Amino acid sequence: MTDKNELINLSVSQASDWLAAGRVTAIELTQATLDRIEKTESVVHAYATVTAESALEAAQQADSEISAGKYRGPLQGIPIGIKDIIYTKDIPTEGGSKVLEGFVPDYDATVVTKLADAGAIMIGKTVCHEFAYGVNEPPTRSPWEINSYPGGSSTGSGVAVTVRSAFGAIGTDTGGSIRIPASINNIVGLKPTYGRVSTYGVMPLSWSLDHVGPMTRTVKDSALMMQVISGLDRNDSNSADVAVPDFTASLEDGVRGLRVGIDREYFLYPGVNDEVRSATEAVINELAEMGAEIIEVRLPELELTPETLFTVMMAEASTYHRQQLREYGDKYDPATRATIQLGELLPATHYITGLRARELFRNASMNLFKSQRLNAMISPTMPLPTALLTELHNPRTDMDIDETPMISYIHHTFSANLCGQPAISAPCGFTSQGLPIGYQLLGRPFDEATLFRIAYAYEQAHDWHTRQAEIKH
Amino acid sequence: MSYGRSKANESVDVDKVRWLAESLGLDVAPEELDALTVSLSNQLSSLEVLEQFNLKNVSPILKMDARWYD
Repeated sequence: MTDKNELINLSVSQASDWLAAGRVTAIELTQATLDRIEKTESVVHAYATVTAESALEAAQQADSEISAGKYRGPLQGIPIGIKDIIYTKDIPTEGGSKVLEGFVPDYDATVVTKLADAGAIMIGKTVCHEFAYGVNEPPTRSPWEINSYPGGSSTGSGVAVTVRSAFGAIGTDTGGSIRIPASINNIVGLKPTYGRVSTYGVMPLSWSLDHVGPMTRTVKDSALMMQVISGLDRNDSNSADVAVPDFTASLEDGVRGLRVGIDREYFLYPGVNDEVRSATEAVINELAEMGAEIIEVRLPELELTPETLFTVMMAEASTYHRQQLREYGDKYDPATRATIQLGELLPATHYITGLRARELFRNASMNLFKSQRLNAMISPTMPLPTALLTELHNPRTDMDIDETPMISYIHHTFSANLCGQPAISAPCGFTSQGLPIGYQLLGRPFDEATLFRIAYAYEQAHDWHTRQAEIKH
Repeated sequence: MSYGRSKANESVDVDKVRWLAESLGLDVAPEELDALTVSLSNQLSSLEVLEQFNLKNVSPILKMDARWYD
């Protein structure tokens, strides 16, 4: 039998190859993952619910099918974590909140159904910030620095993937909640194009900003998961009727001739930490050496993205919680409750103004991409690496700027949610303190394939994504 | 949490926020009113950042697709 440590270090793609070749069984992969959960959970608290029994049953089913030649695809037999705001039939889905303590949905979200149809093994429900709002403090901890912010709101998904207690995971992203934990935890996180992946069966934070996407160790794994979870869903009124391409078809095409824009004034503003700046510049230089054209651009409308997103998100989130807040207000975390109350006090005219500002930004972004013939833009995912939890809401101490770390984190991620463009975060190095650094690519609508192509080319030249944090008990 | 980069809105005070919350049926604990007032003040003033951009002739993003599907 193969060493379990070796098994959990396989990527989705590698594990899939091993399954197909008969080198490993789905039961072995699932048991190795469950053993890893047992070993790490007391430290990292990535899971709200571990579905060991059903996972082993599903693995048994996968092995039977594989033996019988019934091949469902590369996710067959692969253990995957699901963020706990995503409905899973007959399995608790509590959204990180006491409000939903004990709630068990009677249907699966579309993304869960698609993964099951592909033969993936749901290993458990991952911890998230309360209702994905990102303002309370869940119990999850990142192994990279146990006293620091582990990222959110797809907190558990990010941590599970980095500690190898899931081969991949599903997160959601309304303002950076896939990309920020991906960057902090040294993994790949994709926010797809708005409407690319169904949000049916996913508790909304903000209907017009919510996205569902994969969190994985490698770029190829992200593409493989996207192949399964993408596509039109009539149950989701915002689902896009756009053909799903083969996301891996151009993966190895390299970056020669691709045009990648950088707005240094916004994305490398004075609030960007020196080590993050250096790491990002290194990625830019390397892409140029690989044959990409780096285009210096300026998109002044980026300046309105933080206020615009907050205005839109607050109104929509507070609308969703309106009735529940009145019935169960005392069960909300105080920080979440206060933020929802705030959204209720905003005039409708503010929300509509936010939508106008959003249209202004979307048009400006589109015009920039078209006029400069950009295939992507690049930025650091976050202006700084993770901060200590105790410092998160205090003025930054790493440099002289009047921002808290939490405010800085969202500086680069909001724009992609506002205009719905795809955005990926991938590893690009570590600080001198050993904290992961991620870079972000922003793409054209429904062109996730080009983001995968660029990120894959860079990933092949480095081993950042193979590094693991030590689990300190 | 709000994202106020502008000066706080001075016309917002605790009494007004208490009245507004009560009118809307919101049960805000007395000890949480001050923080809510500051947040609302910041959030209201944050609109100034958006209105510095030329929104004249910009329609809001609103989608209404009247098509029926099977």
